[in-house]
Parts: sequence; structure tokens; C-alpha cells
Amino acid sequence: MGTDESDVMAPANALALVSANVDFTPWLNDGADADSLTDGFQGAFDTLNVWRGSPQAGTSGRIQKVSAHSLAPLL
Amino acid sequence: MNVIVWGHANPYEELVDVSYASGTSLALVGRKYDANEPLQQAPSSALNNTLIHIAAGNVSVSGMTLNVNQPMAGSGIVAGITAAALDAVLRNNITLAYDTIYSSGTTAGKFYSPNADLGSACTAIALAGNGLMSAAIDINNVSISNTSSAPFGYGIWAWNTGGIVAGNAIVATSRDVYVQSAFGPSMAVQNNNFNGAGVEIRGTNAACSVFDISGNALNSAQTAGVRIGRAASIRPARCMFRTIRSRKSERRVGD
Repeated sequence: MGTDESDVMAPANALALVSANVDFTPWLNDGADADSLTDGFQGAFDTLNVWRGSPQAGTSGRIQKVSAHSLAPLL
Repeated sequence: MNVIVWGHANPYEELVDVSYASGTSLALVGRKYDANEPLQQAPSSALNNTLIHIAAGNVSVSGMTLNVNQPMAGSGIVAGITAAALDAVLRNNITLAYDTIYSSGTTAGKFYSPNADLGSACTAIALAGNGLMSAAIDINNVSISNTSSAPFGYGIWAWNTGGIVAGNAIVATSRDVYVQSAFGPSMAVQNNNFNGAGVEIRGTNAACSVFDISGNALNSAQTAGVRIGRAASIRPARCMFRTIRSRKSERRVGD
């Protein structure tokens, strides 16, 4: 897979949106509301991003967090 | 669900257990970032771990770099096996593509297979069907290499599976690719570069209508060979090599 720093969802862009010491991984691939008929923002969990450079809260690994679909109850 | 794993200067020191209810899928997609590969290795807390254990169907892993850092790790990617026993549930449609798996360390890690033939040799990829149905696998363009005094015993071990193993470059000391009881509808081992101990097809299950070993290259200066063992019944087979330049090449048919 190629280098992809220019991708709008690249880690540097996600990092720029949060304060220091905030665990921001995983993050959504876009800001679209996946279900406009439901109150509030409904994230689209079909694609998530993971980065080693994010601070880490808890003991679960960064990749493991998403590999059990534990963050995607709507799927 | 697609999970993009971005590269970083430091490795992901964690074990991944892919598990979820049936009817969904997961694609782990590694992406290089700031010139860093997405590198995963085992933490130092325990021995003989599997870096990615697949306990679900419809899973793909691509673009990842796995450091099987022995003895903390004893295997890279394993599907269909839990605690040295076959999974009770079929793990079907497993795709591994454009991954890089290498060994490191000086003390051998162990992979405990439910099959006695394999022993406990460190293994890069181990995929097993449950003996009742085919687990369709597609392993393509994966690089398996050794960078240590604790090399892989087996590069790819496939048991009771059907599918395709193609375009890989492999170095292991016992077998680069070891297919046991190939399942249906077919098993193909094509266009690989065997740079270590070669390939063995040890039998076909009755559900396997054909197996095809073609376009591969035996490149090792040491022990690369090809062995085709006894089948459950006579199956159409093709065995054609692109290159044989092993210093000590073994060709054995039958059992």
C-alpha cells in the first residue's frame, strides 16, 4: 500500500482536530450522518482509521478495539 | 467494515483477535504513512502468541507488516484453530494479500497445531477448515522471510482448505508451503517463489476435485523440493515448475 499523507483522513489531519492527551483512535472516515432520520449524529462505521500515534486510554490494543466490531453496534 | 491501519515510527505492540457474529465482514488494510509501514508485533508479556487470530469468516488482511518476534510470538496469522484445536465453527473466505511477515529473535517461538505432523514449529500463516466444509482461502503476494536465528519452520500451512496460494515469496526451514488434505472444490499453488524448503501436498480430501501446482520456482540453495503425497482417491493433478535451481532439490511422488 502506498504512502498517503495527502488523504484527508490521514492521521495528521485527525490529530489536528483534538487536544493533547486525547485518545482519538479509531476515527470515522468521514463526517456524514449515516442516518438522518434518527436524532443526533449517527456515525458511519463502515470504514474506521487506526493510528499508533494516538494517545491510548484503556488496555485494549488500537487494532483490537475495532477488530471485534465492538465499536460498531449498528452493523 | 474496513479498518485502515496507518503506519507509524513505532510498532503496534498488540495481539489482534478478529471475532464477531456471522453476517458481517472485516478488512484490515495497512497503509504506509510518513514512510513508516504499519508494523505489528507481540508485546513482551507472554510467549508463543499469534499476532492475528481470525475467529470469524469473511476476513481480509492486506498491506500489513508483521514481525513475528520470537519467543513472544510463535505464529503470524492463524484462522480456524483455537488453543491447538480446530474451531467448531467454519472460518470461510479468508484473504491475505500484499502482507509482509518476517521472523526475529534468537529463541524459537512455538505454534501449537492440532495436527501432529506440524509439531510446534513457528509458522507464519496457518489456516484450517473444520474438516466438514471448505474454508476458501486466497493468499497472494505475501512475503515471508527470516531475519533471525529463529526462522519459520513453516511458511504457509493449509489443512482441510480449498482455494489458491499464489504469487508469494517464502523462506521456511521445514516447508515453505504445506497443504494437507486439500479440500474442495480445488486447491491451487501457483507462481510462488519457494526460497526455503519447498512445497508438499500431502493428500487431497474426496471433496477436492483438482489440485494444481504450476508456475512456481524452487530457488533455495539448500533444501527446496516438491513432494506430492497420497490422495484420498485419484484426483486430476498438474505439477509444472517455472524454475528449479535448488542446489539440493528433492522430488517425491507417492507415500
